[in-house]
Amino acid sequence: MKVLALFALLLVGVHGGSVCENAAVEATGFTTLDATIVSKVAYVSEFTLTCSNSAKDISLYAETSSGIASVARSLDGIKYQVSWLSDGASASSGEQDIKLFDEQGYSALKKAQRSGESTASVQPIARISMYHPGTYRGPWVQSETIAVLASLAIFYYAFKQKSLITE
Amino acid sequence: MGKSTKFTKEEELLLEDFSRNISKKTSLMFYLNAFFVSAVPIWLYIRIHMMELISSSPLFVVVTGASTYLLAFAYKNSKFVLKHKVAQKVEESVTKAVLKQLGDKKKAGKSEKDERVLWKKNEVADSEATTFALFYNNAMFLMLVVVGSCLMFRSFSPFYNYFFSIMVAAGVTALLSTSGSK
Repeated sequence: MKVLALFALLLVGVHGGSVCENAAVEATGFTTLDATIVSKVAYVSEFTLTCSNSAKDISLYAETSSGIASVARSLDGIKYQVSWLSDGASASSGEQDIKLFDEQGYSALKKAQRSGESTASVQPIARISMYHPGTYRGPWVQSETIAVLASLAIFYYAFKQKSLITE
Repeated sequence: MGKSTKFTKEEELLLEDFSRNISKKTSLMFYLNAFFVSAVPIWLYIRIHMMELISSSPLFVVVTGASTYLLAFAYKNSKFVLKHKVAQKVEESVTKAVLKQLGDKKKAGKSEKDERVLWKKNEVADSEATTFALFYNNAMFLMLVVVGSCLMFRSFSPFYNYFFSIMVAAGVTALLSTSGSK
């Protein structure tokens, strides 16, 4: 029994349990920049999480603009990645705020959602700000429309000149 | 007793003025220009409609050849119609310029002056009519090609799109060039 308790304490000491204290995040973001042939915009955020109590391999959840998503983590427990999709027509450019929650925070979040309370009261362990410059959906006016209009304009000028000569 | 068939210089100039014949140099210029303008849309179809140059080369050769002939025909007709109109417009200014030039030569007779005016008017009208015929017919042909390929025949396959766009554009340009002046 004492051996088991000692083993459990050792595990907690090594992994720091599932609680990350004073979390610090370093993040890199990727977003869809060209939506000419796709209908969804993808957001991907890769980050490393550093805890003051050296906690690693923590189960994390992210609250994004499209809802709550689970965060994938690397085998060594150091790198994390969260990704989600947004509709191309409604995706806006600018800063995307991502709130990170651990198990406890996620439970509190779900509880608040079920009871209809505001989720703003649940404090995340960390926040990531990801900048999305916007997605290119094609030119405002198609190039063939410009070509047709330009050729018509040039022909109109030629026609007017001919009318002046032949009148 | 046979009548002399030799024309005077004035009569020759008048014949040249009212003739549809064009010089070899002008003819060569017309055909070269028509060939170049007919070949330009090939680039459009290769880059935009993704046609293969080598596999479509027989089509390109045949259609470009036909279009070249039709455009040269259009240039010739347009030039003939425009030449007379341009000659009427420039007659006054050419006469003034030539008489001013000949003004110092008091020995020049009336017939020499008339001949010089007629020759200069013919030269100016010929040059202006040639240039404008090229510009007007090229503008019409390229406009019809762009409208045909982007609007009228856009649902066709590139092969038929190219064939109909070029042939319709060249055909319409040649047809409209045959209409007389109003």
